[in-house]
Amino acid sequence: MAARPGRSVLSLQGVALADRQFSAHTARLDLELPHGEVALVQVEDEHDAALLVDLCLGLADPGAGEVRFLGIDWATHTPRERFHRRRRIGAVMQTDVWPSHMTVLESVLVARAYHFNQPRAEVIADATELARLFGLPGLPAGRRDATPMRALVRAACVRGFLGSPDLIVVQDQVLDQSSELAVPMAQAISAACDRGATVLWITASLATQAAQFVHTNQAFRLGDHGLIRVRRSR
Amino acid sequence: MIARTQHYDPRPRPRRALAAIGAVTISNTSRLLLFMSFATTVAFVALRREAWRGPVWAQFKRVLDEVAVRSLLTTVVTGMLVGFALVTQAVYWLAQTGTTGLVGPVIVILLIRELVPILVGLIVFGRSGTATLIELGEAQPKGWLRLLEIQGLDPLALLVLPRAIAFALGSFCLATVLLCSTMLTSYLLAYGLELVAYSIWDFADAVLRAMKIQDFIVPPLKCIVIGYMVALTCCSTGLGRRDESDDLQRLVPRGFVRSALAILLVNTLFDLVA
Repeated sequence: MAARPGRSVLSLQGVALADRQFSAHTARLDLELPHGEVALVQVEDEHDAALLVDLCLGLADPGAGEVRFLGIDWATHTPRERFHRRRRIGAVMQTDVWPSHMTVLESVLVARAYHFNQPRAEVIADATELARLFGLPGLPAGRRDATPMRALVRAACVRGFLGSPDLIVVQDQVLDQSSELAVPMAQAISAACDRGATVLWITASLATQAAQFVHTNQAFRLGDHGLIRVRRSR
Repeated sequence: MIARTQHYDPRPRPRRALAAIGAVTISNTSRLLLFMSFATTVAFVALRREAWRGPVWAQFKRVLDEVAVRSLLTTVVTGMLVGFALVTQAVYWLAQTGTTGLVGPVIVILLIRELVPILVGLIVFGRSGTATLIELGEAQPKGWLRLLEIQGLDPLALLVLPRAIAFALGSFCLATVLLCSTMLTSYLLAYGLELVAYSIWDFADAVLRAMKIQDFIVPPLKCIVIGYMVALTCCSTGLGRRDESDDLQRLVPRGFVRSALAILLVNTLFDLVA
């Protein structure tokens, strides 16, 4: 890993991934993600994948090591500062999870409206453009219960890519299994990388169809003792 | 069949009983202190201008509509029923004893200072508090609380703050409506039954003369604090539900007990201070 910590969007240095579900070992993670790069990480167990996401996004503190986002260790931030810094992260995950008191449209726009003072019409225009890329005619305006699962998965993709996040984290098993989204995801990731964003895709299998069109700079597999660099077969 | 092993405690029974009482007291005191710090934090956050961002305002308007507008009919009907009870009891007995001149002080003490804040607290809990309990009770088990945190959305600002302030303001509005509907109903009924012979203006004048300056400050403040506490109780109880093993059906009774205690506690504290 040649990238220096200061240049990386996300940097994990000697991070201990403990409390794993199917492994007695504590994995030691070292990862550097510079601007405009895509990394694919295979994590077979969903519990471990969620732990890794929590560490990367500053939702949980590692037992050892440090996680730096845009050069600053999450541990040095107060909880309020962490919330504020997460405005620069897009997350395509939990595609079936939507707040019950909001419509899908509101839920897609809420983070953008909360963190940035951008006019609502502009945000809706950006979101609609992304929705079309993912094969939706527009953003679903109904509640979660009244929206088909297919539309919810696509709306979750819009939610993750909306705005210009510096880091996009993708982790969802439903998405992994969706071959229909392979091309739109690759296009969205490519556009984000051209803009300078970094993408971390945590997948259950590197051979997943959804990720086959994505051009990755780094690929890893989470083993018993840490991340193992692998070469992807295309 | 599940075999259970009991931990052997060598201490004598009275000491064990005292230790158990002590443990419960410490646990409940720390919970109360935690709740008080939570209430203070929300109050301080509400005073910060940057906390009131677009989605927070949108939530505030939605909840205020739910509390103050959609509960209007319930409040008016409750006011009419309370007015009826007031006539059949207070005004009737005052008329029987020939002391209808005391109608003002009786209404001020009974209705304005005591009954209205407690009733409003119960209405707000019943109409909107239960909805909040169920809504927020799903936040952790369904995973959308984590999703909000991932998106950098502070649950305190987005979920708790708008509800707390909307409940507080809504309680004040509902208290005004409840008071007016109760007094109007009780007067019309008493007049219709010929228990009182004076006009509605004389009735209003008698009530206003019986009121002291603190009666214009303390009861409204009491209603606002009760609404605020009901909201915080419902929010903390709802968000405190960790997983599906904690039944949603048990959440509402738990929230009701806590809200009722909060209402009575606030009422008592105001009575003691004022």
